[in-house]
Amino acid sequence: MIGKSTLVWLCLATVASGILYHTSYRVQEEQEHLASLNRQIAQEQQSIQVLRAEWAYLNDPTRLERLATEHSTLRPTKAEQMVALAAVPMKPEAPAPVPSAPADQAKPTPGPAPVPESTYVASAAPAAPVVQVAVAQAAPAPAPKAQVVALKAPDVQTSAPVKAAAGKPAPAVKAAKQPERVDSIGALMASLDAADKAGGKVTLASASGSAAKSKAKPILMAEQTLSAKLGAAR
Amino acid sequence: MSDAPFSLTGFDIAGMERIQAPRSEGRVRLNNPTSHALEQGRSRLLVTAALFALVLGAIGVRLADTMVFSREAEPPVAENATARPLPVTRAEITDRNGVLLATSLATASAYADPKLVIDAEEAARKLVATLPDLDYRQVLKDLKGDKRFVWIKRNLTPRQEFEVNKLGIPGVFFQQEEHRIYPQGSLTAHLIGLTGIDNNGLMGIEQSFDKRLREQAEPLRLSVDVRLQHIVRKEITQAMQDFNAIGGAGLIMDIKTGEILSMVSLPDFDPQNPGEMHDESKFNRATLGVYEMGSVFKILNTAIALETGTVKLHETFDTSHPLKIGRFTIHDDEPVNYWMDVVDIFRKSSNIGSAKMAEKFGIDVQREYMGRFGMLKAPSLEIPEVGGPLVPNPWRPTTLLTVAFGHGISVSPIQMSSAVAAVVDGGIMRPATLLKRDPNAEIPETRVISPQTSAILRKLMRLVVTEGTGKTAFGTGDLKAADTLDYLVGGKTGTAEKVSGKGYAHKSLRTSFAGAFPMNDPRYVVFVMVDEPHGNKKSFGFATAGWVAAPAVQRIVWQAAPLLGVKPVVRNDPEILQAMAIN
Repeated sequence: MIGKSTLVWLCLATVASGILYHTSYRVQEEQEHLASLNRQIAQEQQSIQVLRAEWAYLNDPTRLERLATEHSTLRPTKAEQMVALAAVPMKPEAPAPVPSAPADQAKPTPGPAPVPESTYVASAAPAAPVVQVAVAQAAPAPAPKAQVVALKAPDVQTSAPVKAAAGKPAPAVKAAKQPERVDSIGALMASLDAADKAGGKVTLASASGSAAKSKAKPILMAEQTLSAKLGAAR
Repeated sequence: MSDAPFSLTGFDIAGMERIQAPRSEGRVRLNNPTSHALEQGRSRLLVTAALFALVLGAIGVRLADTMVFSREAEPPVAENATARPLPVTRAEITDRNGVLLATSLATASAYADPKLVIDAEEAARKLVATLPDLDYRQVLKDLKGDKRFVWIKRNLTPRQEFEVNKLGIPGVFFQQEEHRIYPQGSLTAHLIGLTGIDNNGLMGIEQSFDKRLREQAEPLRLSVDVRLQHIVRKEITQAMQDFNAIGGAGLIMDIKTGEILSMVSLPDFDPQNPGEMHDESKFNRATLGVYEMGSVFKILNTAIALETGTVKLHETFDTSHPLKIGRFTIHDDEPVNYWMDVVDIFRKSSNIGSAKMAEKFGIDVQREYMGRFGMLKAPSLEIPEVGGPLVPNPWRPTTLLTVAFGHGISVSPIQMSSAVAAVVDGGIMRPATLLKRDPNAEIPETRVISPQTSAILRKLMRLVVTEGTGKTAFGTGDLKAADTLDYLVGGKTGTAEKVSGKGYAHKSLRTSFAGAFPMNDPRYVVFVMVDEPHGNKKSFGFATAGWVAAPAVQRIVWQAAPLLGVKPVVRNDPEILQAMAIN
């Protein structure tokens, strides 16, 4: 006969060893898992390292410049494209009136080209922080030259000021021929606003189309600048 | 011992059985003839049992000790991978904005044990198909050889490693290696330098910070900005191409901190392929090369003259005749037949006038101030390639006159830039550095000239650009219009004849331009040097600084200023004109 005490001890031993084995297997499993995770982390760290090197390599300024020249119309920022923050007008609260032009901005804005020059001239507040207006950046190769020419001859294409809707005198300018492509984000935004107003479908084609529309309207030539963009919804 | 009929252990552990069974008469009696033998057997058993008990007890104790008390066998918390250092050992180098300039990658190198390769021909064919730059015959020869170890290809890309691994060729293995990568290529070649095959620094920052890069894991942050570096390199390359020059150097320095934002020396090399490097391209013209700076030195000469008060701003000098001293004759490039004041001497870069100004303050003053401007000893900079100046010894009366217009003393572009920075920034000199400064750190400053002299020099340097020798670069074409936006560059041109043999070669020039902007509150110094330019059609055959180096500086400033947050001003704004007017 097996003594009761023996039985009790036997049971205890069995249970204990069972738990022991179970725990030990669990630990082993967890350790394997941990090791594999660690390996994976190390691998990921290595790939991150490789990717960072690749990122730096692909961001080589020489390469970026070449790509920008090939695939976009963006060029290095010019001095004329800088504008003081104070020179950027606030968005008018009422939708109706023509953006009130400060007295010195009444100087007719030359030409069809991106207009930051005039915006700058309008407010060369010395202390104001400078913001870059990337808006009118682009323009295809010959355009920048045209800008300068326009600047030198501010009377080109301007006509006598006419009364705008709100009755404020604003220099009306015959919009000159618009570039075929939408070159500036500003022009695109202006056209988006116009298209929105008309409820039309917004396409790139309509972007240049709206510029044609603006021919008919006596509006500020600042159409393509930030300030004009705000008033264009009129 | 139990006398129970059956017991698993042979022992009546709890003594239960003994209680239950009535004690029977002992089978063992005293004086039994067999008692002796029984006693003996019993005592033997006892000894054995004791022995076993001892051993088992010891094992039990040890078990308890290991399992319950000891904590050494396993860490209480599992270690995770992030706590370990990366497998690479050399720290990264970044620019001031954190753009990687140098990093280390753990790469795999494939090698083979030819004895374990079963089919050498097939293996070679597969390997060459995967790694096309291998030569089939060479690989086959290696794999058929007697060695136990041949490299197949070192430093594979991760993709290549994967491809080779996928081939599953027996006998081909990988070894982990560390490989230094320079993602920006030759853009910062002279600055960063390079490392050797066993990853030790051989040049530039890699050499001077070798220990630091090995011991500390965090990236080393330099003061340079890759965008500016690119602009400077591009424009000097352009100038070298346009004028068919043999070399060039360029610097942009932050005046207020002494940080070098860009440092270029051309021709340069690709640190990734040092094998293709020539001595010429290895040479750092910006820091190691020392040159006679020519008229750029007139900045310092004029500063000394005005600072010491020996010469007044509107004092006139006879510049109508060449100046003879000993066997030398000092000429002007564009001789005039009238007397010029200091303003005109500076604007038109008159050698005769400058020499006559120097005559007024004398040798001792000149030497002392040159020392103050840091022209007499090698500058402290964080790379090993720093050249000491060639200082005239003895300092003769002739030397006095030639140093006035930048001949007879050779300094490096970095020394020149530091001195110009001091002259335009109120006369305060700060040491140049290639490491990004902590914005709160104190920068050692020494005053070299007074703020008043500095203010006059700023105006004079601006005048050079608006009406003097730098006018061709800054005041023509699109830049001519009165309302042109301008970054108010000021500077001084320098065209030096190169030494050849015992004299000067009139046809081989070294042109430089030391400028600063914006001149109403100078923030940055730009220095450009172009070595041996040749005139072209556009420059009407001229190869002087006004045609070569100054336009390069103009292009650099016009591209760099927006990045540096410098605001353009209207050139003919009355306030600006007033501030820059000389009275």
